[in-house]
Amino acid sequence: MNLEIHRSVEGKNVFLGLIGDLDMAGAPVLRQSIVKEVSQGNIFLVLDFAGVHFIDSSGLGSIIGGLRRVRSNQGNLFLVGVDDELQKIFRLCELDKIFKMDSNRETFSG
Amino acid sequence: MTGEIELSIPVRVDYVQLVRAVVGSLASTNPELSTARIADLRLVISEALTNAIRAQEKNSISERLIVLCKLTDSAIEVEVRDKATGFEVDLIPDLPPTESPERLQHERGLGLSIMREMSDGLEIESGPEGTVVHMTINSQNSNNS
Repeated sequence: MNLEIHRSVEGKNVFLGLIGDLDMAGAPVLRQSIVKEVSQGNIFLVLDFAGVHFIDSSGLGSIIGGLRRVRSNQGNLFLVGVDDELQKIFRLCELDKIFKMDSNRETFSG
Repeated sequence: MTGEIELSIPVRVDYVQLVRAVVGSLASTNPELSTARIADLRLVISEALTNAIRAQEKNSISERLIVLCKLTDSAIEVEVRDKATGFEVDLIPDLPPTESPERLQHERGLGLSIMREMSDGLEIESGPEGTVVHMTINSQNSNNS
């Protein structure tokens, strides 16, 4: 299944609900979406991973690039709903030290 | 169950997911391989295929990629073969430390370390005629995942 992105706005945060695999095929879809948000001035992004059950280094690369883009515009990027299997990969690559993750979507609402 | 399959796939990104599904299905026929180990397998094969596709695309080589899978009672072995111009494994630079602001400048470079960490054996033979990546996933994980 190709990556689908469902967009919603809550307060100053734009939520991007990801559904599908974040791999070599999905990464450009997310990258393009983040570039579009930042170009529109939306620099506080929350990526909701509840619908993602696979990520590889291509997917990790796309969110590293996303974090760089929002931070260079004084924004930030947060991750919610990252399941245990995916968290294992973040830890393996030490990216849990870079990304602010929370299991609860409501943390970033309002 | 033991068995062997060979997949010949076009150099297209949308085939990576299909290969993950096929290889994962084969692995799931072995009751000794846990769900976590099959997830590790799907990840490492995705990394190897991604590298192979990028290498052939970079060199405009359209020859199909070969994926071999051999299932034994205690492990699954996978091999990904491309026809790109090869690379020097030892010359791949290390990424900056995670704490360094420089780290965010690097979107690539994690694939090889993921393959090393998640597999129980990784062998890479690379030369001007192409690259063969051979990985083993044991039913009992010898790593720390």
